[in-house]
Amino acid sequence: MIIARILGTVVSTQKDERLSGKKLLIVRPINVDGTDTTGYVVAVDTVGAGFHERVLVVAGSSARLAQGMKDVPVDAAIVGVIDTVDVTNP
Amino acid sequence: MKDLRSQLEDVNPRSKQKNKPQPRTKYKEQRTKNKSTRTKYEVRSTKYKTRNTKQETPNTKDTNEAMQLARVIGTVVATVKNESLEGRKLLVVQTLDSNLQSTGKPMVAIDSVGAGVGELVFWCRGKEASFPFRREDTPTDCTIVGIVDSDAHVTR
Repeated sequence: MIIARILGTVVSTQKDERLSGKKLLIVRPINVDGTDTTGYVVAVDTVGAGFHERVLVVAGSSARLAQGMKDVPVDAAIVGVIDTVDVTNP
Repeated sequence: MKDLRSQLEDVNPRSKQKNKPQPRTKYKEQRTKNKSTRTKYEVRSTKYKTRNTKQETPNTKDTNEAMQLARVIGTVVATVKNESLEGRKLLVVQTLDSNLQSTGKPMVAIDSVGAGVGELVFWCRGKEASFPFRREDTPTDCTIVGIVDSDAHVTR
């Protein structure tokens, strides 16, 4: 799992049937100290996360195991909204 | 006697070859040959050699990564999360190489054994990460599956 920050949304009308009704968000992976890294990922939201929130993103085939994601063609899913991150020596 | 032996050597072609340093110089010449003067076969063989060495490097990398050791460096708190993750402990792990030096970025892992901050653990990634839990509906790609008793058990 990676920690990421939500950057924006993606709107797609023509998509796989099984993706209809799912919210697509653009997230950027961040370091544990909160600083941004490069790149972005489009992830399906399963928890109702909002803009600028830090979230947990699960990648790979495990993303399909999230609630309501069974047999949905996704490889990145937001599975949690982070409240705090405590790190002893980042 | 001496004359006889020398005569014999003259007759025997094998003994002559033994004394000759020719093959070695020939080999040296081949090595110092320019690329342009190399035969097709020689160029091919060198190409094959370079390809072979390239293939070997990722293999050694894989064996390093196969250890999948990590140090727990922190915790993550998330109130709103996927239902199947409720009650699970989330930890920040820093991956380590075979010399226990940190390598790569820290990751968030689910705990399945009761590990704590500062402990040396081993973990698995990918689909297998959900196997310690209800594998059908636990969305995790990184799970701590064991605690190493002490660093001394890992040193070579």
